[in-house]
Amino acid sequence: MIDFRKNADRILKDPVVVNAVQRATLHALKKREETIERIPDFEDLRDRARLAKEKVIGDFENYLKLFKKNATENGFIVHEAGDAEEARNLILKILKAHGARTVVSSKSMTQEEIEINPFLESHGIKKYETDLGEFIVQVAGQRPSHITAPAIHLTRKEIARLFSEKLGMNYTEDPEEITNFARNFLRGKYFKADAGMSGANFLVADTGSFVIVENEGNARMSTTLPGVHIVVTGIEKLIPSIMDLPVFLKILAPSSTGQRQTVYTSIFSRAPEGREIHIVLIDNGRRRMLKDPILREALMCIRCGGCSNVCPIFQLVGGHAYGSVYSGPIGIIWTYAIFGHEVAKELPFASTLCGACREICPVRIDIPRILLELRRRVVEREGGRPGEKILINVWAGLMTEPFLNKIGFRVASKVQTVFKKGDKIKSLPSVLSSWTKFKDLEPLADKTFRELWKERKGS
Amino acid sequence: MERTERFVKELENNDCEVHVVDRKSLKENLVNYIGKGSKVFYRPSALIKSLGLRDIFELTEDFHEGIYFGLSEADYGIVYSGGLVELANTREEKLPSLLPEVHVALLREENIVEDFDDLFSRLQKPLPDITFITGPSKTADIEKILVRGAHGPRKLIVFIVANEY
Repeated sequence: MIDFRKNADRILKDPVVVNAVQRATLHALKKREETIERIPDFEDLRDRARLAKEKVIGDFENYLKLFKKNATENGFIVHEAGDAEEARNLILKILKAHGARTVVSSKSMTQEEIEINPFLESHGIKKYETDLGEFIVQVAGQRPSHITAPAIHLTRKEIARLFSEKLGMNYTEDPEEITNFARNFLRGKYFKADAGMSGANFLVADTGSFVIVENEGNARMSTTLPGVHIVVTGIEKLIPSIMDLPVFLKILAPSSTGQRQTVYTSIFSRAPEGREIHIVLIDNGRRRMLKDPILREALMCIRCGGCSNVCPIFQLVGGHAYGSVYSGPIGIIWTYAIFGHEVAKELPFASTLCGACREICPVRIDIPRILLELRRRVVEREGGRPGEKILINVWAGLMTEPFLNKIGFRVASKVQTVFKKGDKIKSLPSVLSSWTKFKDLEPLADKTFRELWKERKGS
Repeated sequence: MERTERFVKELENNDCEVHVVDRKSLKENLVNYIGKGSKVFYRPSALIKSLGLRDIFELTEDFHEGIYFGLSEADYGIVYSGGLVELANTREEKLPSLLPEVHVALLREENIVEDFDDLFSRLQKPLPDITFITGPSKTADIEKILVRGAHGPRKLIVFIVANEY
């Protein structure tokens, strides 16, 4: 089980990480605001993107069939994997058929999801992450902490030390020089690699194309230089038509990094002669989500990371606290859906349900509603904490029965003096104790609203 | 012209260096910018061939490390994103805009379109590979500090070849 509280406690003790995460998320939000100001029809674009995704989800198997047919006609070799293990074996088989020893790869959360790197490593295949952030995280032996900024939890000092120790870089803390070192290091790999791997941001059903957006150029390198290219992607990346693509390109970058556009967008629609391009379509729980009336909405996610940036919890603890490849508000839902109840049952509670994620989501996914439903499912399976149900029933009674309300609060305002310290309630007993663990509560007023009302009316 | 002006502004917002030149002075501009005798990794196009650059630069279609300049003619420019579009049928065609340190792109003014839709509605199936290029290669993965030339070109210079009337 992912222990969010424990992870969060550990991270909160590290002011450097807390600071870096906060800076990065707020920076992205500010840039988003500035960019959207220059896109007058942004709200309309969001609606259109959502509509396109609803179309796919409403008729999923047909759109997938159409994509597969068109992609095959384009010369791509299309595979389907039911789960992570099947996907890993498929990828290994393709790589082995080409005698691949080294692979260059651009950023893909789906690849992280199926944990392909340690698997390939155990079969003697070295896979280099080429996105700078991912590369840093890989050299550090860690996991990405943010979907679009994987290494925000590390300082330049730490990266400098890491590169000079593990890769023999001449020690420098200058970001430009460090980047340049990584550039040169990975240049050598691109040209020698036997295969390239990538994810995909969009799969276009009516043209059989796949689309990759990026800023660094590493995805362009990984997808063009080696002789074989394997695209690893979740089946939910489908969009109906190439004519829908502009809408998605116009909402993705602003919601994500706050750019109007990323530097590079590559649309692949053909396998050039002498090159093999494989597309491995991964289910791994996605069809299960599709059948779930509440979870299916999460399949619309375009992985912009906006909900992470705006989440008050994420801003404080960053991605590592979620203990999963998918972090932040939507990541909780994905982790629960893909990795299951036992792994993720604590996560739905790592939210304030403030609704900021729903407001920022470019495809308007009602994230708080899904989180609330997941909480319901968790409590249903695990049972609530002892006494919790009684307490809620008592509360419901107090709030719905006028007589109980009248008596109840009068009694409560007398009883509370036992717990009052100064003018605050600093600790409550048993089931109520977690409410006062990290904050003081305002005590009930001496007189209830009804009493005050009566008095004032009388005067 | 008004569209071109807006396009230039967007390109500049995206960190590109832009020059609007007429057809007659294009060659001279390229020579001044790139420098006589330089090695240039290029993607052939009718426009580039017509310039007669062979006697000025060492033109090659094979990349090797150390080549500083890449030269290509972009197929379209998109005002909305302030970027270039390259269509490709082979992988070799994609490389001059990617591998060198500096990418020099030519764009004929008549190929500037307003928006993505204008581009997609012009293309016919089967689609070529399409690459949108909006600025030099970038990263901000170390402490959110912007660095140009993460993996691709550190600079993008666009020569817009003005329409002749």
